[in-house]
Amino acid sequence: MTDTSAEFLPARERRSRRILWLLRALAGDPMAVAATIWLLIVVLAIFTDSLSLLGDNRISLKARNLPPFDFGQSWTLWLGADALGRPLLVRLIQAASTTIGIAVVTVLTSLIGGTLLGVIAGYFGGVVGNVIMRICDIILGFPTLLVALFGLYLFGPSVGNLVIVLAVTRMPAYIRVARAETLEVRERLFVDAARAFGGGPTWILRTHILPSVAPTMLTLASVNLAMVMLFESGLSYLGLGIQPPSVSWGLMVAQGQGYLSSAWWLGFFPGLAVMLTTMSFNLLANWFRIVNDPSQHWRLVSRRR
Amino acid sequence: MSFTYFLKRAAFAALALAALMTSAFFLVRLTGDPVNLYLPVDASDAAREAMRIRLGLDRSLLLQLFDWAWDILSLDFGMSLWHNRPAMDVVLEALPNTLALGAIALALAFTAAIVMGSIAAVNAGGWIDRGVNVLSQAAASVPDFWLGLMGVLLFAVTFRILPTSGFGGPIYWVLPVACLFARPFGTLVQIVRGSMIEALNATFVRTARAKGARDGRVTFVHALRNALLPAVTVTGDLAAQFAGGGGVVEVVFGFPGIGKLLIDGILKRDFAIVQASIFAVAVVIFVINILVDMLYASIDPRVRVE
Repeated sequence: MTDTSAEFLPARERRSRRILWLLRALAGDPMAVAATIWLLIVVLAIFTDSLSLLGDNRISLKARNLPPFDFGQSWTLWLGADALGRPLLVRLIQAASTTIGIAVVTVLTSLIGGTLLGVIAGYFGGVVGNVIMRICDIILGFPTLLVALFGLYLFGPSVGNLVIVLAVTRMPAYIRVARAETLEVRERLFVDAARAFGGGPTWILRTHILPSVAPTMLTLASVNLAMVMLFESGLSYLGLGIQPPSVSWGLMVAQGQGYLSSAWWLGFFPGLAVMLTTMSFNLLANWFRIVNDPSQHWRLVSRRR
Repeated sequence: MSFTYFLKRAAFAALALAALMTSAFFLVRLTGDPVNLYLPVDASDAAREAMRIRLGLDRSLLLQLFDWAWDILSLDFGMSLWHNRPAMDVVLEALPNTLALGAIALALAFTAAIVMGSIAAVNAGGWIDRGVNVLSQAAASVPDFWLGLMGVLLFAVTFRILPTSGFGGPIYWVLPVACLFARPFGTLVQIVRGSMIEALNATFVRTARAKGARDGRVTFVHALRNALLPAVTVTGDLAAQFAGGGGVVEVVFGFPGIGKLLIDGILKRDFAIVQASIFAVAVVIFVINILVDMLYASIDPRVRVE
């Protein structure tokens, strides 16, 4: 780091220009900006919670089912309080770290595993491809919910098991799409050309197939981030995911269900939080896909004019 | 060639189904002892033993497996402990409800997604595109059980125009269909829009424009046909998921479908019900997968079916 020789400068400059360009491209997309702001708020909230700066999460019978938007109260009670008088906003923030953490780890696991297996199955085909696809069929033969229920029943509903179960159940979708895309890409001329030039399979996969498949896989992953978060919420809602006294947004909806006609906010806000967060992930991933796809750069550029 | 391909697929499907059912057999027995669930905690050991013998759980696992395999080959899944009726009857009652619910929701979602996705792609970057984008992102992001609860709150509790739950005439289908519609719709709009933009930027579209084809023809004949491929794959996956039942949504609305049956079956340790529903769902899913593969080959001749 101390020795900055001349030949490193252009590269550094290129990098800083790239970051500047990315920021400018982000500014051109108001939805992506909104998503970034929401996620920053969520991350900041999780951070303050992990430093236990929020404090006040005691049961308080005086605040039982306190309605929201009563700004005369302390700010933690602005979204109301639950049946035990705990401030809903603080509970929401505590649930955020569980829900988001599980979703991110799960999607990364199934994205990496699924893309690799799918590309291999599509490019090489043969016995390996058939075995991979048949295993996919077997997993898909189980309804996702059933696999999840089984897994959580067998190993107990813990955070680690939830991640494993969700990652395994989501992987076949990635494998099938990656394989379908690869089947299409490998028939194209530039792959034939690469093969004619004597490129090895690993090299062709890395430089030609993977970059062509990546945009679709990222789109799928963005939608899947939503799906996994929703699945975790669904399982927690059914009482098979996160267990009390831990909180997740899905569990909070379930706890609020009984008060649907008397205290709607108990079920409303956690669900809204799930929706806004998954939507932000989606919007950002979408933006990211456009940025990473040179054939779509014209959209960002034309927007700036 | 296509017939031998079909035979091959069917053979694979039968093998996979066998693997699936065998693992289901062991998984179900690993989740717990049903005797504990059907008898009170203070039941005598003799009563437990009698129950075990009645259910055939006293024999060795291998013997149970052989017996079970023979029963399945003759399509006999035994009596449901909970319903006290042949399990397959109960499953076959629930299956049409789930299939109809899933098919209606998915067909509506697919049609709406193709129209909206194409419109968004043609106007990429414009106001319509952004509007469709926000709408589809919201649809793909909304938790279905929450949508259901909010639907109940709004239309059943506040306005009293729809039933909260249960089963009966068409009115009982409105909220479940609406809840199941949202996610595939949002997902598919994103997929159609993405691949449509890619197709519209492709050289064959430029060629079509250059030779003077009109805009509508370029969009819906040249581009859409190519953009459909990923949408069909994803729809196939979604259909396979839906065949397993709209799980949580069915529970929210007390809709008598296979998803609710399965969740109840697992929670109540009703072996017969779980096995029979897994079998039925697996058969449906394999049929769907083969159909998607065939559809795929017919849409895109470049995909060689080996």
